[in-house]
Amino acid sequence: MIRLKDVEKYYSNKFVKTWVLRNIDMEVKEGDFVTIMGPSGAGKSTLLHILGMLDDMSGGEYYFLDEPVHQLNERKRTGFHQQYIGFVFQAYHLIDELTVYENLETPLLYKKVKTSERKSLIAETLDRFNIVAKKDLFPNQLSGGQQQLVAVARALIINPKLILADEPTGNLNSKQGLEIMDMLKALNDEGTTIIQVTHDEKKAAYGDRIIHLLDGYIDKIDERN
Amino acid sequence: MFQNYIKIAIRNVLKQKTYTLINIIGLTIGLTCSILILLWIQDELSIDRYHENRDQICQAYLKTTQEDQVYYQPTTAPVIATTLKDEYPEIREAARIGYLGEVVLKTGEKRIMETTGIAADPSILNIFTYTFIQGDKESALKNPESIILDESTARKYFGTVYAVGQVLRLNNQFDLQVTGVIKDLPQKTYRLFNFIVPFVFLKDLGYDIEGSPFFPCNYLTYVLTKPGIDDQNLSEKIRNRIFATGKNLSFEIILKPLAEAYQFDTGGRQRIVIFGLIAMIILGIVCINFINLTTARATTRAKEIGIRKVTGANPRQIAVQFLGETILLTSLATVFAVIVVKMLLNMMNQVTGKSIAINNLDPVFILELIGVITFTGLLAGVYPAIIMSRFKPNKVFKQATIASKRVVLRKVLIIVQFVFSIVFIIATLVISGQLRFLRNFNLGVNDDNILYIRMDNDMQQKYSPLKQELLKNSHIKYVTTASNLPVSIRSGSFYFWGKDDKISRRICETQVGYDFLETFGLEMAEGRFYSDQYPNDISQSIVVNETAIRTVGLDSAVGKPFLFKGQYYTLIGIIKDFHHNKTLRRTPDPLSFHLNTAGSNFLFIKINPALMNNEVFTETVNFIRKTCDSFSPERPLTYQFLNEFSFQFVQTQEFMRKILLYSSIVAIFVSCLGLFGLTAFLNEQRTKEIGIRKVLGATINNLLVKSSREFSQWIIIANVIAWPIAWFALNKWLQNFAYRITLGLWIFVLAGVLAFVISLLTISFHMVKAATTNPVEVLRYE
Repeated sequence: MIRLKDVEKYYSNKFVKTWVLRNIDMEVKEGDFVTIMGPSGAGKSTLLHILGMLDDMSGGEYYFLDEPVHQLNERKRTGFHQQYIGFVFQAYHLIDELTVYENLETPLLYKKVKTSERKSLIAETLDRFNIVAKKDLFPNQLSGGQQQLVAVARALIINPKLILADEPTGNLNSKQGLEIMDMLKALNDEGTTIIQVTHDEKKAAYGDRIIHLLDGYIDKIDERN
Repeated sequence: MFQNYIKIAIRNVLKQKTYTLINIIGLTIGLTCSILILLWIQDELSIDRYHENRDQICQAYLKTTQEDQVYYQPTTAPVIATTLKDEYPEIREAARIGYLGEVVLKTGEKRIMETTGIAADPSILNIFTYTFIQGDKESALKNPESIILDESTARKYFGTVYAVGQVLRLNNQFDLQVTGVIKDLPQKTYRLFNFIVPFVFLKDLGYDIEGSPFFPCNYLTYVLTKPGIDDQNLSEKIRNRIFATGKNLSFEIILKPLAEAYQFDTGGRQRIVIFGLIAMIILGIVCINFINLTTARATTRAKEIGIRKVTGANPRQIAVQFLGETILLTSLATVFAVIVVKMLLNMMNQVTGKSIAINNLDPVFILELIGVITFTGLLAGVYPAIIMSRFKPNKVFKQATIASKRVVLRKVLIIVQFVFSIVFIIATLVISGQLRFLRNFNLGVNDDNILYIRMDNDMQQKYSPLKQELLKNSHIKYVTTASNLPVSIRSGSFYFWGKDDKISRRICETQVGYDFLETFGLEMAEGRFYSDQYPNDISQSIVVNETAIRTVGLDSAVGKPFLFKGQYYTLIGIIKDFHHNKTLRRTPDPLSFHLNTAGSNFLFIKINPALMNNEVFTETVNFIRKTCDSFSPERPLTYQFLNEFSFQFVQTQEFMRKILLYSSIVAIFVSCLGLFGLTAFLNEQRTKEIGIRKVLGATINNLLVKSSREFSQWIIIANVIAWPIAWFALNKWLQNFAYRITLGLWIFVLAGVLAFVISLLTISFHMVKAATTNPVEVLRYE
């Protein structure tokens, strides 16, 4: 599903190149649950952003479903978001001015899903995540865990093949965190590919493979099973 | 999707009340100005456009070329119309119009002085579109003793609009039968009138209506061309056919389309361009505010944009969303602006002398509003929308400083705003100064305490006894007569005069009575003025002004023969130049003064200023009224004071000054509004920096000086740019006047300082607030 070949990322600041990622080679197959770990500044988030096509690479090749992403324009990449990728962030990133219902609706609107289908999809998702009662509330009226639940729901509503989660439990207490992780695990069992970034060994254990990053390089890869 | 955008737009508007308010107020003000100016321009362009044949009507102009000078005159000789009609198959109809000036109409006890009646050929009714309430255009002007009234004139005399068959007596001499009543002319008519008599009737009134192709040039000539005729070609053909060429002078007849006539005669095109420019500039300033505030605050929407992109929005969709928000805001402001416009319309009509009304449901008006909304929305919205659509989600989420790169552009835009504001202030100061200068200019004519009355035939014939009678009152110092007001001698003609060198020169001719010199406090440069002690003066003498002598190049001319219109007179005196045209657009022209012992057009009465107080004044005026009435019982007396006489020209300049004054106020206000919003936001962001500086020992003064230093640089740059622009434009404007103020440096400095002080006050509110905040509070956030 995902193939990275010698991906690198740097910021040039007049004379100095600051390297963030170097020599990244990795492959993710459909149905994988991959964890990216590493100390702060190791390039975890940048790698995730590159995988999510939110950030450009400085060099290397990136194939997503055999499409060369490094050669695509922004419009095509947007097409990939809409179809295949859902994001979950540490800081939830819900739109503050929209209600739960409207937040869930947004990706469907961009995907140009028809009204009737949209309504039923949202209803289904609200039901599945058990947040029907919250649908008319604004994000700031929800607890962190609930907000992250909505964020996960929003990521899932387009039925993505890939979920990218950037420390999804970082702002949550342990109970809420476990709930979210269980949910991700359940999704993975249903066949959704998941790539998560985390600091937490326990959360990392949910994945079948752990990629350790250090100073922009892949330090080691732990395979489970 | 649309719903989603609107929801978020409204929720954002409500969330950021201050900024929304600043934007809405700014946009409302800008749009109000633009709509008002648009309405004015629209009205100006619609003048005379209601005639059905508007595109086939042309007016004949007399074009005079003297060496390199070209004059256009809208009045031509009466034979022009008949010649055009007879000789050019392209022309369907031709009509002459002459204004009757002051005439008295009478029915029963009603006796009213009318000033806007015309005499016109019957074909005028085929050329222009007038709506008959009674009568018809075929027969209404057939009989030479007929009269067509407009609705309100009919009502004035007969109490009803159905006045056909009634009789009005003109100047107590001619009985005219009402043969038609037409609807009042729309306000959008350049040459208004309230009644029409047949053109041939002018003959009865003693006017020359035959003459030669270039004499007497007193009538407006209109032609109606056949459909499909090119005005330009026809005009060219006529120009090559009806002309006269002298040694240094040539006359031609040219045609101008009716649509251009009003603009051409009043210099309206230039005015439209200037006003249009002002509207655009004010709208531009408002849009700059919007752009600056929106891009500065873009960070507050950054997260939303990031999320939208992550959830699948492409940049175009983001741009559309933000552009939509701007257009929504603009639409809202437009609604407010229309309300404000409606409130201001009365005032505007007073200032402009128009009667503009707006109808909400008028499709043209709605279309214009849509145009204004789109234009403003795009101008204000496109740039921020593009900026926003380019935000990268990964950067947004990292909270990097996104807006920092726009700072240069923001500075440039603020400077542009202040350039315009400063130019407006300078223009207002200069125009006010010039108008004050003109008002106080010593014309060389003493026009204080002088009453003037237009005399009719009766009064003119009895002028001498009337004068004797008036002078019996001890408060009346002088009585004289003249064909022109001495502050408005304007119409000159070309003759051979002065010496016999066969060169025609322009000279303005004035008939004057005895005591003309004393009444107006004029002085002789040489020789003497007309006096009843020299009987020869009546037919053999002439007086001219200094310019006339200089123009022909005579020296020590007094007592020598002086040629005038083919006849020699004795030059008895030279009057010192005075300003015979209050507009002061030109230096004095050559003038000739001819003695007219009978009365001429005007009667002037100088009241002794030493004795003036209200009571004596009223008494004296009553005496004058009674005396004049006894000499001309049929004529209602109307008098005016000479020093109150003012020109259309001065009024239009005054109008211009007001518009510029209002524009300056609006420009400065709106610029400051933007500055206010911007400093509020920037200080909000800088509170931490200021807090740290204070902890490190900066005093409040240090901080104020530091933050106003940069701002002062902007204003200085704005001044540097504004001054040459203003100097160039105003210098050009001042060239319109032969007498003008000098563009002193102080005007520029004053405008700059004014702009500086006003804007410094604006930003100091937030600066002081930020600088005096307790740093502990600020830093606690962290």
